[in-house]
Amino acid sequence: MKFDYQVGDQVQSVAAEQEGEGFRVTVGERVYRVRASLRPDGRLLLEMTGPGMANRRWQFTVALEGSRVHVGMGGQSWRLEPPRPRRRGSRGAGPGSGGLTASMPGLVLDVLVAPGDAVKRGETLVLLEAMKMELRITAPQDGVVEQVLCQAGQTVERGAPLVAVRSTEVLEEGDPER
Amino acid sequence: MFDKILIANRGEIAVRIIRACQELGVATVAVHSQADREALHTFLADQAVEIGPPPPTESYLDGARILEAARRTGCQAIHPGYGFLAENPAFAQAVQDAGLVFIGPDPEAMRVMGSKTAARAAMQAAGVPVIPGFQESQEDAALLAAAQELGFPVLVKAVAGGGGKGMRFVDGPAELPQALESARREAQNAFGDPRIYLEKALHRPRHVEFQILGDRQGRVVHLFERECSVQRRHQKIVEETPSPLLDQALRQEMGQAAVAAAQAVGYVNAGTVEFLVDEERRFHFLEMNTRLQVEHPITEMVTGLDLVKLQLRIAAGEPIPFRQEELSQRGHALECRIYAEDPAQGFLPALGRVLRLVEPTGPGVRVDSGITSGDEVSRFYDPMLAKLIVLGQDRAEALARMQRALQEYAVLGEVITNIPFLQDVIAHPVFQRGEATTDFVERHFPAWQPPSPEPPDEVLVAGALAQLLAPGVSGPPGGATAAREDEGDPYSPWRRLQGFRL
Repeated sequence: MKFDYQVGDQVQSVAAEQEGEGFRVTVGERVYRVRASLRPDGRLLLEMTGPGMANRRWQFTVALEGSRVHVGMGGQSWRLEPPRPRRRGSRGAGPGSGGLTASMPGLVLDVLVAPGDAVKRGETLVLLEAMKMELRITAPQDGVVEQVLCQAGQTVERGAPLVAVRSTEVLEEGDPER
Repeated sequence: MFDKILIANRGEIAVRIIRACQELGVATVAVHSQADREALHTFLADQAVEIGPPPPTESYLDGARILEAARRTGCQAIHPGYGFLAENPAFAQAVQDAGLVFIGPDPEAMRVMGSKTAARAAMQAAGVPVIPGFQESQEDAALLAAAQELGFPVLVKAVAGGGGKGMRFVDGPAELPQALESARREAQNAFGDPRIYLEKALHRPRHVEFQILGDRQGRVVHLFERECSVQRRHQKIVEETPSPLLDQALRQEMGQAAVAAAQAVGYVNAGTVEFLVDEERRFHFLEMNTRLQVEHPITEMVTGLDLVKLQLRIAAGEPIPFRQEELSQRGHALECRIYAEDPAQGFLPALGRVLRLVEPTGPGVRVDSGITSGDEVSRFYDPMLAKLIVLGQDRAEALARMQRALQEYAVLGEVITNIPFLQDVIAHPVFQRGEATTDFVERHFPAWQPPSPEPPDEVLVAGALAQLLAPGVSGPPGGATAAREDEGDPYSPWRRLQGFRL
């Protein structure tokens, strides 16, 4: 069975097949021989032999969520997800390349710009309050405000578009967003 | 002792209080918002009363509804926990006026200490050293002049403040106007009071606080110190006791000052006197927290006392059952606050559902947690999930024990936690040497990233085999996989033994 996971910008393929009492697992080009025990409480014990390890024991905690799997080890955790569909062509108009989104859910305290305003990199566009902290949403580059997508007093979710800014900075050749 | 009390809080502290009550044989009533119907504290209490919608102003901060719940359920007292209404003198007064007992200090002491400027004045009068500051005017021009006289950098702080809210660090005069404006707005939003004052920013101070207890008979004792110098955004994340900074002489001197501070306002019940200690080892009063503190467990670990039970006893009119000379610190305790936040993204809260939670156990480990697997970490409340507390016979053992316990912790799901960051904090040589100052995090972790942001091979293998061994996730596994038999039971021994011979 093959599993594809999105790792950063790349897709990492993991192929696992049964072999004797364990599994033969291939990660990219690397081959591991693995024995595995999964317990109902999510504990997963692996014993792996392959590049850089011989009969190495690893203890994990795992949780499955639809097509995702969460893996915890030694206090750190990773979320393994299927590959994101590749975007084709441009992202169109609207709140696109310069779209500024709420980095956390919260309350819009104030919108300091209006459509058509020229803004400088670093200029505050929106004041957001979340967890009783004030966050300044600032322009990532020089540009012109195309759309204001929120208003003062509004509650917004994480990722909600707040302001669309069209960049007036010179784009580098081959910028994937163009 | 009371027969039945109401706990006006949620999360780990509500759970902590309920547990103490269960051990005392006191019945408990939990209150909860609509978002917390299935929260752990709601489950554990003898009774649970829904008090309103998720926003705190309509539930956990609504004193009238909470009082009504207490009356309806026949409670004799209310424990406020920390946060929410814990330091609200109007609520404490309303509880008393309703003929119930507020498990905490009297409203008057809360009022004095709740105004940071009134507290500074009271401390000066009692001979407790305070940080040089300016609180005589709200005018920008007067504040600028005062800042220049104090000497930059200065701190702008909210008069009604606490928890770092409405606080701004100002390096020079040019930054002051914007800092005043945003501090006032944040203070207004957080406390409903925009007033601010100035304090000289001490250079690399250490935060050392003293736990105190006062009873109705007039006795005040201190339960030694807690050092909380490791902070992010002015909020503590790691605490320890004893403080590596103090020697016996300074400990005694500061303990006496803490007792004097409490006596100056006629303090009853548990409270904490916070000090900053400067580079010359001089200590200055910072503020007094008129409630049970988040980090109270480390004091419990080294003194062997149960602060919540003592709070209930004192509130019921009993005297403190020991004298100062009978108290001692035994061993070394550390606490790490486990937050749903992303230290790699400016410590912004990273919320969502906790799919699976594994908490550390073993000798000397205590977890005060407010969540269980399946809980949603809501944006309406503080993103602290739990506190991990360890006790060792000395500091070295406590540090090693904390690292071991952090490694055992697993919080899986959409949430991101600060656990890997805490591991790096504990491992840092400056912290290991016991030399962390309050700027420790920003100075030593300016652009922290998790040790392996991208999954190493063993994690990818674990993910794939987890999906392979548990069915119904990515469609029926085909070919030579382990999932041929026992389709209905993902955890049958057969399936497990296919993969691993024990």
